[in-house]
Amino acid sequence: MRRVAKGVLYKLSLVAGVATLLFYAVDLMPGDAPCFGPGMTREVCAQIATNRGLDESVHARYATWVVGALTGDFGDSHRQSRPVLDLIGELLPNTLLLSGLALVLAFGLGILFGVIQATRPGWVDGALGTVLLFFYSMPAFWLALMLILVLSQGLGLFPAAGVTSVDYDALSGPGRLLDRLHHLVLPVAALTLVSMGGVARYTRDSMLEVLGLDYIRAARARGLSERTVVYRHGLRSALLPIVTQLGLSLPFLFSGAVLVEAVFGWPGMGRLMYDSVAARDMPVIMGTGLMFAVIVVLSNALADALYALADPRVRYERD
Amino acid sequence: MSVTDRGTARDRRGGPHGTPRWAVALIPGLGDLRSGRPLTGWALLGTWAFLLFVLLTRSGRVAAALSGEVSGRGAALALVTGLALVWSLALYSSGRSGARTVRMSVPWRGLARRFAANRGAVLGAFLLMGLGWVAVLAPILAPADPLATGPLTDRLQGPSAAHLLGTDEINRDVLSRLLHGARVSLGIAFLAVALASTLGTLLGAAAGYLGGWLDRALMAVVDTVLSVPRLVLLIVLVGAVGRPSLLLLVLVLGLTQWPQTARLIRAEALSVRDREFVRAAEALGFSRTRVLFRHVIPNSLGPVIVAAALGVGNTIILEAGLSFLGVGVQPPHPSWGVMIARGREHIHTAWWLTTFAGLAIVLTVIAANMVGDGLRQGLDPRAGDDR
Amino acid sequence: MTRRLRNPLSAAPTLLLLAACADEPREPVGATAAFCQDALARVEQYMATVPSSPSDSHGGTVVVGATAELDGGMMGLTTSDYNAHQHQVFLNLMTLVRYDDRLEPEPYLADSWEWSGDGTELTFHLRDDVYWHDGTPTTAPDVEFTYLRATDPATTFANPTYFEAYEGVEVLDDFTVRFHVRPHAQPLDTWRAVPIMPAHLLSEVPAEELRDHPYGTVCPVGNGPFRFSSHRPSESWTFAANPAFPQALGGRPSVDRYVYRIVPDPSTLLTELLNEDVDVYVSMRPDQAGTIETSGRARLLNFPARDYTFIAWNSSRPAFADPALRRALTMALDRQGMVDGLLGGRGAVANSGVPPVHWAFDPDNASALPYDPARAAGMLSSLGWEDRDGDGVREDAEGQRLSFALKFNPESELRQTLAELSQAQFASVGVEAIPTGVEFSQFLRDILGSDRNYDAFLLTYSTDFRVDDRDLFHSGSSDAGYAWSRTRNPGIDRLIDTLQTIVDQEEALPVWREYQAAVLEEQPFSYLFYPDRIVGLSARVQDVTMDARGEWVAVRDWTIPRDRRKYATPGRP
Repeated sequence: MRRVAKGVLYKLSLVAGVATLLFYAVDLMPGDAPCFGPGMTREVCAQIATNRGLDESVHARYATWVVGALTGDFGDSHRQSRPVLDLIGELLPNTLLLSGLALVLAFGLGILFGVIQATRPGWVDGALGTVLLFFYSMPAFWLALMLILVLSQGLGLFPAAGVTSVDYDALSGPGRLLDRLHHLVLPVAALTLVSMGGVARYTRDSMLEVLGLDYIRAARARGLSERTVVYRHGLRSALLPIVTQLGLSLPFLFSGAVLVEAVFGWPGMGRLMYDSVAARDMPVIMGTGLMFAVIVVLSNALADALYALADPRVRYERD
Repeated sequence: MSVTDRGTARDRRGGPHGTPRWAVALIPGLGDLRSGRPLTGWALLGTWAFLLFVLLTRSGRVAAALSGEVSGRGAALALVTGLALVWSLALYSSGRSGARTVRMSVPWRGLARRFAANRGAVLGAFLLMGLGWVAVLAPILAPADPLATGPLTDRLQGPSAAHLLGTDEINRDVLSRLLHGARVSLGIAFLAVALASTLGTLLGAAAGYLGGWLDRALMAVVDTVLSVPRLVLLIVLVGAVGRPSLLLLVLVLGLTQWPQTARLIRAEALSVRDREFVRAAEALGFSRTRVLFRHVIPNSLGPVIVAAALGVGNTIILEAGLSFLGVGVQPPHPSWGVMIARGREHIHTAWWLTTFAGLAIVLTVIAANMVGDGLRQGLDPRAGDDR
Repeated sequence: MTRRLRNPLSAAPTLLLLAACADEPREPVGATAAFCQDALARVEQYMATVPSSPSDSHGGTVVVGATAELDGGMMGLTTSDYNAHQHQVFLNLMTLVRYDDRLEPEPYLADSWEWSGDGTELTFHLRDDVYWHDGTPTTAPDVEFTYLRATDPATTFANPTYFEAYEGVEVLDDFTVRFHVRPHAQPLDTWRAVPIMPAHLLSEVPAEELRDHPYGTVCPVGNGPFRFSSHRPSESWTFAANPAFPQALGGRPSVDRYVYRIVPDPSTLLTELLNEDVDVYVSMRPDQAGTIETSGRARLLNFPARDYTFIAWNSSRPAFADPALRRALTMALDRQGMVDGLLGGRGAVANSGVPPVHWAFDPDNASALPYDPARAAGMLSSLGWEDRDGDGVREDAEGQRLSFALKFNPESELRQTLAELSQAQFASVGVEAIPTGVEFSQFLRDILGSDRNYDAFLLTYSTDFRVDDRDLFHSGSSDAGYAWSRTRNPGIDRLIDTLQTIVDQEEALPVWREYQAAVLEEQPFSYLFYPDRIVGLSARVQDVTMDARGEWVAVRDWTIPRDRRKYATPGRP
């Protein structure tokens, strides 16, 4: 029990560390919120900073932010003139949908292909490996551009941008679901294709290692069907490192989403983060940064938990 | 690379199947090929043929570059030196009876054997080597100055004999920019990975071997850095300096990569720490620094090498992403990411701008990944290429 | 184990369902939530009582696509974003006057106006049939409120120069308001630009909180032809036709619904236009216009506007102190080639900040300083800049190289291209320009900061209809933010001072000519060109006219013909 408490404490301090680091790093960033245009004189810009309390010292601002954050108030976005929590509430579902779906598919398909590669050595393994490596070696944004060019503009199969179509509100329930799916296809495909190669490779290697072990040979010798041997006995152990990978790869999908979201005009957290850095929108940078940190820490914890669950020998011995 | 001394008897007679000694001396790699070292052989032969071909076809350019009339003196020097080196190597080995013997410790020998047996990895290694030479020789190879603009009324020409890969939005030769882009993209990636590997190895091994507060503090830093998505971290870091330069990119890419290396090597060092030879060295009274550098690090390096190979591919993609967002490589340097980013305005009409740069990235990253895979399987005999 | 494998896959539809359930625009949280809920509820209430009798020609949804969010939303008192301002004055809000197609003021919210004999009193008579979208009439106190807030420094109104000559306001009755002013040039331009804001909603809000108030992005209740219906951050703004808009001003808009979509990537946006998922692509990149021409799937509209692109020279750096040198540098640039090549002919070579659409534009000025590298090289030589050491770059007698960093922000692809092109063209006359990309926030600090951290930089700037270069070139403002060239020229000072006090345009015209000639001589900037604004239109949308007043000037008239309507509209069979 003390171990768990210690772990939680460690993770909390990690989040606090990230927040502090981020606040001071962003403060050190040269350049201010853009204040520019005919008539936007220095006096006007200075007044804007005063109105927003930006003329105080960085420590005072940090203290204000911490007090606010502890009471659930993350301030208002300077660019969008609305509470940061509101903005995150609007955009987070979009990102979760896109990243979550891509993650599920990348792991589902990756594991599937990895198992196929491991169990069918020879040309199947080789061909699948080559195709997966090809996509794995592609910048996601380039693949995204190509997908749009061919599947959206060329063949007109899928919309190129947006989460829903303009008449979404007028659609029926199933219509809405279809509309969302239609818009999800290209971005999810771009993210999934570039990331499933890694999962497949892990699975394949892990499977091959397991299938060579004594107990599998023993299972085979007992005359169990190949199917049972591979899936019931082999995959169970082989999944162990992949499960850890699942937890650890959440940040990749979140950061990868910055570029893919930009290309597909997907209003999500990655773009919010990028835009807010460009505009020096401090409350949003801090809000989203903190949220990212929490998600990563949580997913690391989840990976540990899954690992422990899958392998009873591991009980928080890993630090 | 195979390092056994098989076939030395035949070498002494001038080579197997009667390959004359002068041929072995003249054509680098032939000796190795004939004596059962195909990897070294083909590498030497390929390099030699490529460099010779470049020298012969672009001799005027090389001469002008050497005399300082045009830019690219470094590239011309590298070409001449490289050629001289492989040739002297051939002369040396033909003069010496028998093969060069490289002394390697046992695990590395196994790695080399398994790596050589992996066709994909070998292909990847050759590809990377070739790309490396292309990057080095870019000023000699490029048909035109990558910064020289042509008349604007005739811009965005499609691929033709005059411009093999077409021209861009201010009528610059795309092929030349692609070749020079290899310098920027590969250069940044290799330097960043070298920085990350060095830093990660030193810190990770020290943390794992020495333990204590150093370990805890370092791992806290590692966890913190790894908690922030890398691209986001990069955007903030580059933004923090405001003016992205090549050096800055190398620094930020390297400094955000080392925690991963550190974590890998720390785990390895933890297991090495309790092995007999380390204990023995400590018992003999060697200083901890000496043990760290002489025993712990050399025996934990395996995963670092794999991570470095895979990291090169990763870094190229990241740099491209940063450049795509406009916070990466700045003009007039033509990196591949920049070329994609700039070409996307014309993606509907001038496909050649984005396509070739994208393919160059894919090719390089595939090569790096194949090498990484080969190394990984080579280091871990259980990883299954021996079935 | 196989079941466990499938489990993650079966999670996908669940995720989707979750998202589909949670996709109603979320209610804002926090202390200001009540304000917006209340305001929007009253709009719904009032709109339910307005008789709406759409004719057959009315209907459809027009979708506008752009790469940027409407920063600051509909808060007319603080905005400095071009697109946001256009939406305020042409869609959601109203101004007292508007410009006709010859850029002459005509009545809008104000039915008429008159001047006192000495030109110090300006009296507006407002229409009495304009209602805020919640049913409250728009009256003189709204105008008074707008003026008082705009002139209060705490509000941080974006352009205080509009009110420089204003001395006071009085409300004469519900629909009459009088301003006390000092005589100045183009006095009505202020009231073309500043939208009137609703006093009944915002008068309780302290001035310093207006800029970040949720009114702007969550519940903008206006009085214009379109009323706000929803805003999804970074995604879209939706407006609906306002059936209560006065018939005398044209009545309700032709379309039922107007959607502004944000698609940050220009090439994706172009695909959306070609697929007819976007009907109007505003601020299209010049390079993309060629695609439209060859595709045949959409059409183009371009019009001259008030933007100009230039290289600013920091004349406090000794190398750039001499106007003759700056003129030589301008002549080394193939500006006509830039217009023909980079802009595809959609634009014109510039020689001053007075755009061709402005009444005082001097066409004779336009052909000055033509591209002539030989003469430019000769001029540089005669100024003592020679390549003495044979490195291809000129030096002065002391060996100082004619080399400088040319800053730009890489977010703009056009300026990135221009920087590289200028580098090549300067190089051919022995001048070394080093393109230096600086991220936008940092770029602004460099060019606006008091340390003037630049030799030269590239920028596209937008002038107002009332051209006033005081901030740019008057020596009196040379320490303020926009005095990029640090010009100190008494002749130019005198001309700028005079121009802003002449009310009569006939009388001002010769002075304007003199001013443009003086700028040409001084050459504080190398003006490159006036780029046209380019718009792509899908086959769905018709009756679109645009001009220097802006893309949205006639948005009320945009039509989606019956057979082209493809979206269902909520609340309509």
